[in-house]
Amino acid sequence: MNSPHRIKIKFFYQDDVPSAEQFLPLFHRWIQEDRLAEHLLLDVADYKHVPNSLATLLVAHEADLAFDTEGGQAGFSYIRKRAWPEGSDSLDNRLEFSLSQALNAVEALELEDLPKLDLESLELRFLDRLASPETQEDIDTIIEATQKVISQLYGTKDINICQLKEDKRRAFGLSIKVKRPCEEALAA
Amino acid sequence: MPTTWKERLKTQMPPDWSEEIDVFENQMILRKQDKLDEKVFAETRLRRGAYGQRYDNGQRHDGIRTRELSFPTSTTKGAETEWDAPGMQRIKFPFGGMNPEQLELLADLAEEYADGIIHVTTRQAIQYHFVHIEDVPDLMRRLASLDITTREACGNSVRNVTACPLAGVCRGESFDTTAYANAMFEYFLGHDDVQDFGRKFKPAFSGCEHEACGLVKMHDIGYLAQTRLIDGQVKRGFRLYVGGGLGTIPQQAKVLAEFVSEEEFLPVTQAVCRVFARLGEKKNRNRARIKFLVEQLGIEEFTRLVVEERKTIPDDPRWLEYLNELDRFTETPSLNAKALAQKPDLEGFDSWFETNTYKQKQAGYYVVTVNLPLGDLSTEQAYKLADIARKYTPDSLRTTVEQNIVLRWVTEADLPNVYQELKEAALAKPGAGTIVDITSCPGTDTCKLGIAASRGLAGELSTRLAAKNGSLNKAIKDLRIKVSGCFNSCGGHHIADIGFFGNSRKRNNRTVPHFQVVLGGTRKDNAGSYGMAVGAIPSKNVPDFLDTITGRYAAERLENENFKDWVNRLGKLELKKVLDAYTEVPIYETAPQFYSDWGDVREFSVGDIGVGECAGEVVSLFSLSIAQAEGTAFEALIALDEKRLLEADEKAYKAMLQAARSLVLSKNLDVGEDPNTIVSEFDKHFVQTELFFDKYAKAKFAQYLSKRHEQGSQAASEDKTRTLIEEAHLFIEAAHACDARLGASPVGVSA
Repeated sequence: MNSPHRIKIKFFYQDDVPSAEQFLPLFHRWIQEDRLAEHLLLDVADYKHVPNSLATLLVAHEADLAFDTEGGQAGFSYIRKRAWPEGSDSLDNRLEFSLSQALNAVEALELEDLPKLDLESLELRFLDRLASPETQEDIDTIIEATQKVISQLYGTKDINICQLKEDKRRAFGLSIKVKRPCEEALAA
Repeated sequence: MPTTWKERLKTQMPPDWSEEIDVFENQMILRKQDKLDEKVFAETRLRRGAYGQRYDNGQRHDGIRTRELSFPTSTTKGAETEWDAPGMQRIKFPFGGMNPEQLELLADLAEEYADGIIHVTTRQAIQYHFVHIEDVPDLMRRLASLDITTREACGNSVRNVTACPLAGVCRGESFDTTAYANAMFEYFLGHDDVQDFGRKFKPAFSGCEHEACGLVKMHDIGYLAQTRLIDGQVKRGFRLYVGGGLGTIPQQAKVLAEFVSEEEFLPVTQAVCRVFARLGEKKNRNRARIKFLVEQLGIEEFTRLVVEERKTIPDDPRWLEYLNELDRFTETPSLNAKALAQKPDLEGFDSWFETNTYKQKQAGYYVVTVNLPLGDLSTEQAYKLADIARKYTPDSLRTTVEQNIVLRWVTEADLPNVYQELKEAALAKPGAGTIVDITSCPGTDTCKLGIAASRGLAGELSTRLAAKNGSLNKAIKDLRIKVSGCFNSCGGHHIADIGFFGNSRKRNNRTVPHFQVVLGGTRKDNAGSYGMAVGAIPSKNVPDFLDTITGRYAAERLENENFKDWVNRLGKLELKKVLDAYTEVPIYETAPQFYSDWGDVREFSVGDIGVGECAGEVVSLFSLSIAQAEGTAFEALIALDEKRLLEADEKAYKAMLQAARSLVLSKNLDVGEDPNTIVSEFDKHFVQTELFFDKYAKAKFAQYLSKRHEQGSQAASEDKTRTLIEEAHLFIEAAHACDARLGASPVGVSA
C-alpha cells in the first residue's frame, strides 16, 4: 500500500458556526501577515456559492486550508498536498506530520474572533485513490497508525477511530473521536 | 498492486494517448534539467491543456504590497512562469458530451489534484484550478483511461469542438450534429495540419439557424446544419462560416460556402486549416486569429485559396469513414416515455419546470438544465448528479456554453423525482436561461490577464437578481448577462443583452475597478450581432446601474420590442445620461468599498496582471516535433536502465523517425506516420540533397536512421542498444543543426 500523497484533516464546528464570508478577509490577512510558518501562502479562492465544498480556500504551496462545508457539516480543513519533509515517506510519518501541521493551523485559527472548533472530533481522508486500502488488513494498519499518532499528539489513548461508511466513491476516510480536551493537546 | 497510475492504467488508455503522456512526462524531466527550451516547453504543455494561472510569475499583491512568492523549484515552465506555481488544467469535452462515469472521475480528480471544484467553461470544456504541473501526467492518464483528453485544449491549435447541447433532441434542428462534431474532434486531434497556427482555432456546430446554442457566427469556423435535395435525395451538409471571433476586435464570421456536404466537410476544413497555417500572421499575436486573415484577404479570395488547397490534399479514408458510425451517437432512451399524471405539489417545482426544462422533439421526454452558479460543481454534487443521470437518462450529460450541465431523455413522469433529487444535491436552482443565469470567465480569480473580478460581479448580480426573481418583469427575466474580466471576451460579453468587461480607472489618485458596459448583443441567430460599448462605471455601481437600465427597459419598451431594438431606439446620448449617473467614485475615506472588487477584500490593484498564455508561444512546427523526439529518446534511456532492451531499441528508432519527420514536415506536410514514407521522404529531401550532412561527418548521422530502418527490430545486447540510443541522440542533434542551417525555427531546443 502506498503512502498517500494528499491527506485531509477536518475539524468540525458544532452549534456555533461561522460563515464562509468571514473567512475571506481572515485568509487574506493571513497572507499579508505570513501567518502560517513553513507554508508559502499563495491565494484565496471563494467558492461559497457552491454547496458542500471547500467554500473559502486558502491555497498554499504545501497545503490547502479551508472553511469546509463538505458533507453538509461545517468545519475547518487542512489538506497536506506536497512538500513532505525528507524521510516522511511512511504512512506513520505522513500522518504525524500532517496532523501536527493541521493542529498548528488550528492554533492560529483559535486566536481569531470566530466560533471555536470542536477539536475532539475530526475526520481524516486520503485524497489519493492510489493509496486507498484494498483489504481489511490495510484498513487495520491505517487505523493502528492513526491511533498511534493521535495518541502521541493528544496525549491520550482514549480515542475512538472508525472507517467512514459512506458512498464508496468518496476518498477513504476515518472518523476520529478524542476524549481528551484539545486545549491540553494544543498546549502540549 | 501497481504503485503508480501509469502501471495501473497501462491497458486502459488508448496506446497512442498513453505514449503521448509518457512523452510529456519526459519533456517535463528534460525541462527541469534545462535541456528543453522554456518557450518550447510552454507551448508543449499548453497543447496538453496545462495553462498558466494568476500569480505564476511569482508575484502577488496582497492588498498592501506586492509579495514575492519564493517557490522551492527554480525551474520555469514558460517565460516568467514558475514551475511550482499552481496552474489551470483544461479538459476537452467535444460537444460537451460526458457520461456519469466520466463525471465521477472528474470529481475524484478535482479532489486529488485541484481545489475540489469542477468548473464548466464557456466553451463546454472543464477546467481545474490550482493544479501543480507535477500532477498533470497522472491526471491525464486517469482521464485517458476513460477516453478523455486534454490534448490541444489550449495552445495554437484546434480547441474544444462545441455544439448545441440539444443536438439530437432539439425541436428545430435540421439534423443531429453530434457525430459531425465528434468526427471533427477526432480527425484534427494532433493532426499535422493544425500544428503550425499563429493562434488558436475554435470550431462550433449548430443544428439550426435561429437559436443561440451553437453560436457559430462568433467562431473561427462554424458549421450550420443544412439539408439539400440533390438528385431526389436529402443530403446533409453545412453552411460553413469562417473568421468569426470576439476579443478586442469582434468580427462576425463570413460565409465560406452555402453548402458543404457531409462527405466534404472534413477535407474542406482541412483546406481552411492549411491556408490559415500557411498565410496566417505568426509574429503579431494581436492579429494572428483567422478573422484577421479573412479580413485581410477578403472572403472571396480566402475562399478561392481554400478551394485551390482542397484540390491538393491527398485523399484520406477518414473523411468518409465517420459516416459509417453516425449511429454510434444516436441516443436511445433508457426509460419508456410516460406522461406526468398530475402536476406535483412540490415547492419550487413550477418555477424550475418553467425555466430549467425543455420539451424534446421525442414525445414524452425532456431536457433538464442543471443551473450551476458560475459554472462550478463540487465533488459531492458531481457524484449525486452522476447517480441521477444513471437513474433517469441513457447516461446522457452535456455541458453548455452557458456553463451549465443538461440531462437529456428524462421522461415527463420522472421530472418531479429528478427535481427532488437535484434539490437534495442543491442542484435545482431555477432560472436557467434567464437573467439570473449569468456566465462569466474566471477573471481575476485565476486568469493572468484578468483586470476586474468578473466572477465576483457575476455572483453578486446573480444573488441580487435571484432574491427578487419572483417580482421581476418577464421582459427583464428574458435578458441575458455575460461578464468578462477583460476585453478578451472569454465571458462572451459581446453577445449578451447586457455585457460587462473589466477595466480600471484612476480616480482620486487610486486605481478603481470598473466595468465597461456593452449593450444590445444578440445570442439568438447563432450570435447574430454584437453589442455596443457605451462606457465604464465603477464595479460597485454595476448592480444599481443594472436595476436602472432593466427597469427603464421594462417600463419604456414597445410591445414585443427586444432589448437591442430598445437600446438602439434610446440612442447613445440618452444611454450616456443613464450611465453618467453611475460614474462618480466617492473619495476613499468615505467609501473605501469602491476601491476593492467584488468578492475580493484586497484594495484593488492592476499590478497582478501577467503575461497571458491565450496566444500560446510562437514556436515552429519543427521545435514542437523535435521536442517529441527528445522525449522519446529519453524514454529509450529509461527502458535501457530498466533492461527492457527491445523497447529501448524501438524507442531509439522511433526518436530518430520523429526527428527526421520534424524536418520532413517543412517539405511535405502529408508525410504521415508510416516509417517507410518518413525514411523515403527524408532521404529525398535531406540526404540526397545533402542538406542533412554535417560539415565533417557528412552522411554519418543520416546513416544511423537508414541502418536501423533496414535492419528492423531485433533483440540486441545491452551495449548495442546503448549505442543505438547514442546514435539517436546524435541524429537529433544533427536535425537541430540542419534546422539551424536552414534557418527555419525561431526557437530551438537547447542541447
